[in-house]
Amino acid sequence: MITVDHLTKAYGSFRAVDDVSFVCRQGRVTGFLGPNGAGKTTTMRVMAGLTGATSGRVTIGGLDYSAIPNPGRHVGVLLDASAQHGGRTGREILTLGALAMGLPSARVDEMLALVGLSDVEASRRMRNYSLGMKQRLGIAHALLGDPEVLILDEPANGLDPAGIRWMRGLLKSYADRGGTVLLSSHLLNEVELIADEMILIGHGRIVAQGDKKSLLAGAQGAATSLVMSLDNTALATELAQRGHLVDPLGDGLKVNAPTEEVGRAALAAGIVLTDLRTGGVGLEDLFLELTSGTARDGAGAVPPPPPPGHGVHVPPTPNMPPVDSPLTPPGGHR
Amino acid sequence: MTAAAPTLDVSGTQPIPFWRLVLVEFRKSYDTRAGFWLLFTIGLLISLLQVVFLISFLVQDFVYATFTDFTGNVWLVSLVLVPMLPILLVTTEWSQRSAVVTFAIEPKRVRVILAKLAVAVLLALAAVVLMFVVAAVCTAFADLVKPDFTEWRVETEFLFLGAPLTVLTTTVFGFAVACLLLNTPAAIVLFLLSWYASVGVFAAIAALIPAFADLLPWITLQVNVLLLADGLPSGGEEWGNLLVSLVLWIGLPIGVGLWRILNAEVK
Ligand SMILES: Nc1ncnc2c1ncn2[C@@H]1O[C@H](COP(=O)(O)OP(=O)(O)O)[C@@H](O)[C@H]1O
Ligand SMILES: [Mg+2]
Repeated sequence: MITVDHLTKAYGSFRAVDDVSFVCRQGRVTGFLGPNGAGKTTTMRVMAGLTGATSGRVTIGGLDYSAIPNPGRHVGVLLDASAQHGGRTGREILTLGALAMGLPSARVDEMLALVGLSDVEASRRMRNYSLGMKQRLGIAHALLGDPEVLILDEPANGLDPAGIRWMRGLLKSYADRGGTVLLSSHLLNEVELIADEMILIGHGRIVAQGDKKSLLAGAQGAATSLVMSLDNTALATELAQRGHLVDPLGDGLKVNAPTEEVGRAALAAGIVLTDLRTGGVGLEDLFLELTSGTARDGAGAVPPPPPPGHGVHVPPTPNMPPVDSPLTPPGGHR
Repeated sequence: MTAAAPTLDVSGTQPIPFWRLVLVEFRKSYDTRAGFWLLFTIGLLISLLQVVFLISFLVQDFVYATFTDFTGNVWLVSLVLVPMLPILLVTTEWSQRSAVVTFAIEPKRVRVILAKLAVAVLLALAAVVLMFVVAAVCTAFADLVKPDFTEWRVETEFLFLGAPLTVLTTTVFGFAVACLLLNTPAAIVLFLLSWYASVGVFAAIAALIPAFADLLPWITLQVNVLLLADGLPSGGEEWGNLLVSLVLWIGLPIGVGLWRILNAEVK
């Protein structure tokens, strides 16, 4: 439904968004994930026609945003919850939106009830809102015109845990009813529970995309094992000789290799293993690795994203690590 | 909705009609504290100044009052007060960053800006009407109390042409400055400076460089606008003076401002 096609946005010589392509499909929640400054907001602003693209194109349902008549009725946008006149009440802000979109004023009350802003809160001026309340108001504004597509930039920012859970439910059911949702976040755990698909962006470039399973599968090169033996030092030496990265971890070792490899190394060196298990690879590790400032280009064992317009997924590889492994292996951070 | 249709069906959706954008912008002109008090102050000053004149007329002996006397000072005040409306209406979208939402709702930005101009024009006309209604009431009251000293001398040229035209011109001038700067205090300062100070500055320059004096009628907006109060320009040269100064002070800033509004990133 949303097609981003080789989008580049440059500020001078700096490319905030660099040749980004992806697709958000109907009936699905797409998570747009990346650290601060990765280019998420810029990409979404181009979607809503607020920032011009340097090259490339974004279409929504085949149309440029500016070609959609009364776009609020088709695309709900929340880019910056604070970007409203602070002197207007929450109700007034929604009333202005409803008036412009040609909606009955009853719609304002419906939306206020939906996002859980009480009458008293809705009649307060927005400059007195907490960030969470602004976020709720922004979500209400995005949903006002009953759109088919939702574009939400960091909507969970400032929401309390109950609010985040509420939003998850809201977006999930919205997508189940056939809506298209794109939501961005710099926090993995905000997104991974609801996103059917994830787009990982770092330094303006897409570093991986696909659903959780295929992302993890694609990251098998980063698989780790946790091992304990009677002679960790000798084992570490053996593994290092075989070209694996070894880190001491607690009473054992963490090895960047599948368990089978570690077992073979121990056998060859004649070392008795006392514990050997897969350290798995968490999405968080993957996320950090792919988007970290020092991310080496070769480090992504994830194949490059498939061409746009295609189903977005990373092809499965023969020896998949278990996908039900813990998301954050012990000491998973480097 | 089916998953197989990745296109938006917009066939049943009408674009936002212009009158609705005007309605929205009109609502924005009074739904904030600053906007409301500005409107209130303009209305109050337009009425109050005339009432003050009425009282001073009533308590003084042997002075005459005509209908036009009531509007004279108020008109001059309106010339700089009413333009604050478009300045506020345009610049707050940027200072409060609500432009992000405004232009997401109507991505054809020029329509939003035109709607703001339409609201400013309508409010300016309303201010002129208010001015004359209050003047009529005051004259009627004066006529009642001191009929011998009151005169209903109405200059129709000023009433129907001069007053509306001048107030409208300065309002559009304010709008132009606002579009150019997109910043409330800067726009107010530049508006007042160019309205009040430019004539003096130009005259000073002309005193130093005599050749510049010939240029004066072509570039002083204030003089040309005030001349409008007595009716449309009479000759070709006067028309030229007016049009050139309008292009210089209004056309140019609107052009530059609009180009920027239409092309700049909305943050
Ligand atoms: N107007 C601008 N001029 C220069 N750089 C900009 C501008 N807008 C954004 N950037 C830069 O583009 C990068 C991406 O920003 P953004 O899209 O907001 O990231 P994210 O939303 O992922 O945190 C940042 O490094 C930011 O500083
Ligand atoms: Mg951002």
